[in-house]
Amino acid sequence: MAKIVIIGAGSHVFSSRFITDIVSYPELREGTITLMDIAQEPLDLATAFARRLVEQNKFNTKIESTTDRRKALDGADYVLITLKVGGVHHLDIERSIALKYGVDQGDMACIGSGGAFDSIRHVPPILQICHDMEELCPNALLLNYTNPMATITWSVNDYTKIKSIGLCHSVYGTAKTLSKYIDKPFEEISYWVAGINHFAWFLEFNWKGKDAYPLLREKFKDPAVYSGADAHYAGADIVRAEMFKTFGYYVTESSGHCASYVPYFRKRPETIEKYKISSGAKYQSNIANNQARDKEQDELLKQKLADNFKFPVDHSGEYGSIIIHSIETGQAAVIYGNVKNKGLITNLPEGCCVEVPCLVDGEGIHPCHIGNLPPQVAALNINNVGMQELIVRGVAEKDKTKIFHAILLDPITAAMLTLDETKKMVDEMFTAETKYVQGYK
Amino acid sequence: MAKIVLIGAGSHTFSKNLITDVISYPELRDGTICLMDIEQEPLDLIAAFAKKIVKQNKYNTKIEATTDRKEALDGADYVLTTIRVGQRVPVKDPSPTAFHGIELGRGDTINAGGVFYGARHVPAMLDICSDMEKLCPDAWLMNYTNPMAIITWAINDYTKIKTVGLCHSVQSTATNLAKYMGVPANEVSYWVAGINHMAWFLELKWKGEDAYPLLRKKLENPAVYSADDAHWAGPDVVRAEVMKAFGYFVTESSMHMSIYVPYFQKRPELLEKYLLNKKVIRPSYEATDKELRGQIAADFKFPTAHSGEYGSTIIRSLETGIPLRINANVMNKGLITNLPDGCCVEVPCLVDKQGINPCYVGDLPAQLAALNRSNISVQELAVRGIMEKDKTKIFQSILLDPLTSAVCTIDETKQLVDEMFKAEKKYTRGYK
Repeated sequence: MAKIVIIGAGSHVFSSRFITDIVSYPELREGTITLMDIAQEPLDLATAFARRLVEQNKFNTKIESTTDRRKALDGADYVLITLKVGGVHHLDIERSIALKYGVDQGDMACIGSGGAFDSIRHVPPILQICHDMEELCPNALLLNYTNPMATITWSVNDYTKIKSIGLCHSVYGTAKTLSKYIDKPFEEISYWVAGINHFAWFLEFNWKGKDAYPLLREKFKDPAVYSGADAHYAGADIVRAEMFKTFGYYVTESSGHCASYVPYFRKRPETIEKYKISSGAKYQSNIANNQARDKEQDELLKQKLADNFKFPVDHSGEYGSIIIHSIETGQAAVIYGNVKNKGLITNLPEGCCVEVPCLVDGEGIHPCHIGNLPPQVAALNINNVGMQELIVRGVAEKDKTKIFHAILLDPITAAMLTLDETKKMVDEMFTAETKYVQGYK
Repeated sequence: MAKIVLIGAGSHTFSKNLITDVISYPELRDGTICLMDIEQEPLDLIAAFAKKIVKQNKYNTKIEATTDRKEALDGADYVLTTIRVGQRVPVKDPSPTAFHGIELGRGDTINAGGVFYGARHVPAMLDICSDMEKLCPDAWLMNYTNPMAIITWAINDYTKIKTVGLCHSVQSTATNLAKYMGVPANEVSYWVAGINHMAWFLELKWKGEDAYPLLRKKLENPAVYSADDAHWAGPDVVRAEVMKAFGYFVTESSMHMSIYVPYFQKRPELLEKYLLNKKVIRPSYEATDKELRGQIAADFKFPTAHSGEYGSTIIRSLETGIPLRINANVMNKGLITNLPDGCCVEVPCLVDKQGINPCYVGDLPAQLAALNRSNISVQELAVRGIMEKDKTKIFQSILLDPLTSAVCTIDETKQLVDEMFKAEKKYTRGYK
């Protein structure tokens, strides 16, 4: 039976959900789940949960737990990665420096200087895992949930031999939000989405098999539908509604993220106000809250374990276990994944990382051919892809100039700063990030 | 012998050079030069010049002049176009196309100005092509009209005519670089590729050796590039900054480059910093007309030396088979592998009896390709918007413009585009 390894299993909110998903499939229950983390204490907590869940349901699933990555990977069939280098503070340095220069890119994950330095921190450890995999489980499938998704997937594709797929909640999450906006049951919705991670487009959005865009447009005549603080889990959804009205297609992820990928919204304090998106400063001040929340979640799980709480065995809808189930059983499924663009989206650069529908079955993961995106949305994607490419090369070659070029190409940085201002900002970030940029020239 | 047709021949500075260049080649002297313009007066003037110079040298070149385009194109072998439709949007003070202190309605290749320049010129150029398909389907069209990329792309996608787009920017930048380095221009060689006005000196050599170290050294002294006469278009700070940041020198001028990327014109005070406030003063049409008229009347002996302009040299190579390398604007069919297929690229081309054949370039350095792509996106939507008379595509094209999107929100861009449609009502009839 399959051996499934979770690297970074100490993030128990995520790993407990995944473990539950796996054992919810009778066909996967007889296998092995190996939990791995570099930190013993969170690992122990996640392990205690996994063992309790299996024990409560009298499943035969074998639960292993180790801080030794090589031991975990040995003989693995599936490797799931969700890790965060630098802890909850990981983007603080870039955010505070960028804000000083007047570049306000929200949480800065995946894009601009934040995305560049987050890649500097995350790509090398993931490539290291891949190199271990090449040795210890060369045929295993890597399922990556770590951000920045595009630069990590691109790097794994270009610099390792490992089969991989990058997974994200944003397509599924947006489809649910759209069904809410048009006030129809989610089960009656279908869609066809493609683009790049966090910035993929609902090329088709159907209700009961018919184009639902006219209905969505109708609903959006009332801004209250998308501008309330509870419109989307991440808050008001004005930016995506404006993008939809202007460019013709709904985009995945949240308004806060989307506003960081294009130059139109985060250019002046009053526009940030107008479109109700969070300033980067807000993310800074949330760190204490995040730590408190994490601690609270730890305590909650500990209490449940102490009380012998009966954990439910239901499926979250998350793609990871669905993929494993389809490959193991041959039962076909469709998921959205980040893969190498090999003629899939014909007007995005060959070799870049795209997010497309994939058929999964006993033969593996088969990305679907999309063809050309509408030119206006391809153009928006291409600006981000240009930046990602230089990040990927810059990290692989430890080349400061390429990282500088990447940040020069970031749409918001480019809208706000001149060449020399960008140079100063990037230099300051390199100086502040000493630990992760050793050897950069 | 070959029939060479000049459409828009009334632009006599250009036509004068071309006529002189053609007859400077013994192999081309026995052909026909047909001058065509829709305006009689400038046409008469250039025809008088052409007849005079042929007579002075006792050549057999046949000079024709007509305001009838179909007559001109009938049986043509080479058609050169240098036209201008209407006028640019007059910049009022305060201009309705200025946002946050930045004038965004200008430009003849990009920005809102460039897109609408395309809206005026693409239909006129396609009319010429449509005539050519009937009257001279095998002729080569050599176009000098801007916006180069948008026009070339439209001709490639919507007509059957063989075409190349020609521009002075590669050759003139090479001459400029020689000057910056303090070496003779004829000792400089290069390999340049990208898109029109934003092509990159991928290789720059002096006497066969990489000249970039020398150029970098020279440009350490800002006086070399920031003087008023550094480049014919004024100070050249922007291109020097672009080279220092992105590693390669770019074609065209600093003024043009500054509106192709978001870094230089987005705040009013930056115009001062990058010395973009200097106005280029060119002689008025009236003055040059008067001068030429006087010379013809006084039987001035016109020089017959070649101007260095590509047009005639290309025709000579096509006619004689003498191989020639030029930089021209053509359809990207796998030439620059990291720019979109089908877009308009400016690449080195081989010219000989087989025609004009573009050379394979491969991948541009990633940072340069990314800058080019930001402009190609604008061009693509502009081409589609113009051909389909689609206001939304024109709006989206301008939304993608790097400078406009650095300055404006979506709402402000909408206002700008609405203003432009109002000002260009005459040329955008039927747009929906």
